[in-house]
Amino acid sequence: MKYFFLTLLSLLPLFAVGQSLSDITIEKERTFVGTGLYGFMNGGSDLYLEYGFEKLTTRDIKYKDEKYTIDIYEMSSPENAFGIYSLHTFKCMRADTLRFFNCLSAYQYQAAIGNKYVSIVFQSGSNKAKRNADELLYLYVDTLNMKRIALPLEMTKEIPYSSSIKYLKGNLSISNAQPSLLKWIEGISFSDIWLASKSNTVIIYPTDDKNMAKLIERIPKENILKIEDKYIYLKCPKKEDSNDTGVFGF
Amino acid sequence: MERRKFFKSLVIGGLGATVSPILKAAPTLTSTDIKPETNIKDALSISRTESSMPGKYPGKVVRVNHSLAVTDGKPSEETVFEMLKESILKLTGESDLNKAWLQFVGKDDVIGLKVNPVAGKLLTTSHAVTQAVIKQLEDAGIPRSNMVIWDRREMQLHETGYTEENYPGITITGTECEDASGSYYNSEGKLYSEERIDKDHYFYADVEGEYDAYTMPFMVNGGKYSYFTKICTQKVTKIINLPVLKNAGSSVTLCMKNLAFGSISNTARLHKDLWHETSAYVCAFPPLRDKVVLNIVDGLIGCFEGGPAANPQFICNYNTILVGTDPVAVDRIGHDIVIAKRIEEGIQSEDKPAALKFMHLAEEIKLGVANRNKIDLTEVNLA
Repeated sequence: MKYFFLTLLSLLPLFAVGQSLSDITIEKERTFVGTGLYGFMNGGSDLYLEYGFEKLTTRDIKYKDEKYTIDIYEMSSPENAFGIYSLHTFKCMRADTLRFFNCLSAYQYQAAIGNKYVSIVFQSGSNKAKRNADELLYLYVDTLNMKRIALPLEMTKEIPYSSSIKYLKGNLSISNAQPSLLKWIEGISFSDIWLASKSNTVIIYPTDDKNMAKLIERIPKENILKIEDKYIYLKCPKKEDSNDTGVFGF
Repeated sequence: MERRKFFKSLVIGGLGATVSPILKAAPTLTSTDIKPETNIKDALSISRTESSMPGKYPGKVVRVNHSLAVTDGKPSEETVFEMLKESILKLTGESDLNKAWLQFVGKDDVIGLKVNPVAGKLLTTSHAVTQAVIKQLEDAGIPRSNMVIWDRREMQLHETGYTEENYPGITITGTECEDASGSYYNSEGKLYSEERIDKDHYFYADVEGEYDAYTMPFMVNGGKYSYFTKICTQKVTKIINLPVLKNAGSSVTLCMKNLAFGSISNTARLHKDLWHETSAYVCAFPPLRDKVVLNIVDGLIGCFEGGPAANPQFICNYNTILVGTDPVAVDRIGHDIVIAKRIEEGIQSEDKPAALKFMHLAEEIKLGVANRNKIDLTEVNLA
């Protein structure tokens, strides 16, 4: 039954052919480019900019009697699209059932497709809205000609990847995903970090040998799982609970 | 303060967005031990009245659960009406619902319903709860013309469906507002919202608020004074508080936070070092202390992480409402619900005493009961 369901999902692009953009009523559409994102989400923009945000098209639409907000973020690379996507996924109800990373939750359907991060929010949270979100995605995003990313081998053990594997690019994304990592990474120049949240392991790619040496010196030996030419594979420091009151300054 | 830095801590609402990205500042927001001076002593020197917090039922909280309160993503108005009815009757011990409501409000009162639309459509005080309150007040003889739905930002009220069309005959207003063309300023270059704050009532804290022109409409004024809205000080005679069951980091944003940060201007400066103090102390000033008669926490749809903004992946159906006159006790019970969910979901491993600080501060200044062992919780499962 499960396989039958998955097969049906994989055929969705074909079903979507029967739908068209003319079935959609656009109530509001806006575009934000580069740091213009501040005009949309204020301080939240910093995280997106850390991931090389280029352009957002956000639309409030009506489709089959349900209201949706569909945001399409164009990032500088498929890895960065996956990165910002990975920080927004948590315990998906349904994940990675299609050719691309996707995550369904009660009020949102998200996907990372090539260099695009897509968020579809449905205010009603109804089952109908959830079903239609798949169709909407196919209507707005080309899923056939996307560039794929290759996860490091060590990161391929936790399936589904969505909500488990995180791709981090800087201090903001680290502090969101694994704040305890900051004490190791402070002052280290790195290009990529991959985090497997279930096993609590991480791969760090320092930018050069000097930074690699600095990192190795700093990390307790018992946390080092493997050292390769370009990266180091580690057991993360103990996760620290945050003790803040949220970030909502007004 | 640089605009960029300020935006790090500014809500995304007010610009029409409904969903917030997850954002935590790289350094965690821990408060320092040495606190800036405030004028809390001024508030404490003003005599309390019969209706001062914690109101008629100190330390008493009623929680009513219904597994079908949210059906197919939507709160059921009929179910919520019954949940509210049960809560009010249990709280008051009355058998007649109208009499129960009239313990808190009179027919001549102008009643402010303090909703919380700040997280947008996904996580606002639900219309099911607000409509149930209105219906029960009307049944008790309160005319709609004596009801006011309010919050900080009038724009957010409209965006989340608090409109004249949906609430005919009821005043819908906010402190911060814009005109039909979307301008916050009148023809003389003055903020419309300046007319809506009351400079006779203020919370002073020795922290400077500095904002650029873009930000000022959301703060109304800078400096070291936060002024109460005239909605509180002049317009309404009683307040019914309708927050949403949400986390704020590893603490909660429920009754006290909704009242405190929702009733004064120039608040951005208060988040970093005075979050707990502001949540407690502002409620000790007469416009809130002596007017809030009831707190009804909308826990139908809430969140356990990402709050107070709406991060859809952390939104959940608690299927519950909490009712009490004592905002501190209600917050304490709500805190336990949210933290239990956070632990269940693996967001944190245990409750943190520091997260309860604002409740303890509020208890110290006699606004309610924070000690869990002294709270009388009645829990009812309707289905």
